[in-house]
Amino acid sequence: MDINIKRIAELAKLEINEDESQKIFAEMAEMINMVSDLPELCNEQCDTPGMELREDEVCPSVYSRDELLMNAPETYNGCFSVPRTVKQ
Amino acid sequence: MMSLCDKTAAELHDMLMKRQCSAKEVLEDVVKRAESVQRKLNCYITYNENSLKQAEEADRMLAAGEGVTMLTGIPIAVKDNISTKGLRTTCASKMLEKYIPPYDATVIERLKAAGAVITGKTNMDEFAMGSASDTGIFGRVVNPIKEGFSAGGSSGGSAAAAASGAAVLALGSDTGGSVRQPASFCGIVGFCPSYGSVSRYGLIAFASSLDRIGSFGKNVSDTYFLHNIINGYDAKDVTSVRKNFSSELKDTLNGTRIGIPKEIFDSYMSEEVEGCISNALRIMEKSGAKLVTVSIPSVRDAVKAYYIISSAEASSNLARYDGVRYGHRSADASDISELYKKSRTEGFGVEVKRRIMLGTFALSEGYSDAYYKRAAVLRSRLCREYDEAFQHCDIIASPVYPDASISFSEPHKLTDLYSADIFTVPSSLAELPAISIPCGKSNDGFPVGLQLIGRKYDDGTVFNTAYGFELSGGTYGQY
Repeated sequence: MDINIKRIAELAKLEINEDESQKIFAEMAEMINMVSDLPELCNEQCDTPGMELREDEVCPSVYSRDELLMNAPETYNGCFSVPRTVKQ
Repeated sequence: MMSLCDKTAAELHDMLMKRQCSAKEVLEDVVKRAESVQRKLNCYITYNENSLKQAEEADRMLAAGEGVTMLTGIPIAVKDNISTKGLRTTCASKMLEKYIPPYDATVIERLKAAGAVITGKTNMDEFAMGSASDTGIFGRVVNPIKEGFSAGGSSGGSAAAAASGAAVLALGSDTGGSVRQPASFCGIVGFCPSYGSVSRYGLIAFASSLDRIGSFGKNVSDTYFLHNIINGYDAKDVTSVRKNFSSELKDTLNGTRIGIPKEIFDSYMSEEVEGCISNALRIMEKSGAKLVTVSIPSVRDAVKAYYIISSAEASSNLARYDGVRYGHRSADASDISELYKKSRTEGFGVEVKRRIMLGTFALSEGYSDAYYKRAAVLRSRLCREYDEAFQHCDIIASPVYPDASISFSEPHKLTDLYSADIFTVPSSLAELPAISIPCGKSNDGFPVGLQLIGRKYDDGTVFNTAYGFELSGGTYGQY
């Protein structure tokens, strides 16, 4: 089984250091081995019905800006704050 | 004399109506018990500081006779992945350790409107991922029956609280058995409703196509009272269904056809569990039920499909935790990419990371056809097999878990723990209602649960059959 742990971690936005890498590889291999022998069902379809969506209508928010920012780790001028995303 | 906290919701309701006790007295007794068992069992993460106010409000409702329901003045514990306005909701994760929801989940709104008293938020596996309530940051939940053993998971705190008198009723969530299995381990009743019958609005998502909010009670009628308050259509949940689920609880074992899936009973289960289940089936047969052998071949592969689908959905759902809007934020990130990675790496525990990695793999380019799509097709086939089986029976019986307990001291291989979910995940994938009801005990005194599964949206028959079993031979009151 070819499992590229670094690539999966990059996609999942997780850091895996070299010490953990082997252990995680072994666990991933164990899990993937468990789930990999699903029967071939190539002629069958997945018949999940679609969801009935409500109209996408704009309406006033029931929450204030302060309530929505209450749990933010860092805010600035009533906005979420993040590290600089463009280089100077 | 029996303490108030050891009584059922029905008994307390009766006493409250007759003014034999007040909601405040009931709460005080429950809190006293909760505090006395907390060090041993570790049921709670956060107590509700407003519970006394809620009890006083319930007493006002009872005195005025206005809006009184079966739950008015009844202390209820809530799993810590169900949003409670102003009350910390952590999912037992460092990621949400300081998170205070700005809104109530729909089920909480319904409990409050019914006059229920919320005791606090219960301990669980981190983000509900686990089966022993031992993956969260607040420590493991211990089984009230015996120290050194798990209360089950992932809703172990809710189950242990309801079983020990640290709450009268409790809410949990069930993605692959997380209400039914701890109910079985703790010797109480746990109900997982049809997908769509209880709103998921405000339930912090693990795997959205599988997550359901379930109810715990000491017996079937208590569990039914709680479910009856929380179920119903909700426009805020796009998967909510417009069906009327309420019905009167009836003992309907006589003439009920109980399906016995041969693939389930061919699977490994301990002798003790097998003995308890066989005995329960004999009791039901004596009470007029008819046992019918049915076949659901895809249950053998259900665990594989479940872990692919649930992990895939988890990897997508948990992508929202990026350290920006809420949740843990790393202190030493120099750019936005590092902020995401470090915040997630520091904030999530080992089991959550494992599942995110598995889900990311199953959805990644080159692998999604072999894994995710095959799992989704197997899920469809499983649903068709259940439909066929329900042509020949009204209810399907099965164990809840292969063993009566999980010891904290024995090492468990990861995939063995996953595979042990074989009895609960098939009905999760098929979105069916299912209940766990005590039916006996192991040699070591651990309770064993019988699982009864119904047709989709036929939650009433599940309750009625469980009620019939409880009256004719269940073990309620023996623990």
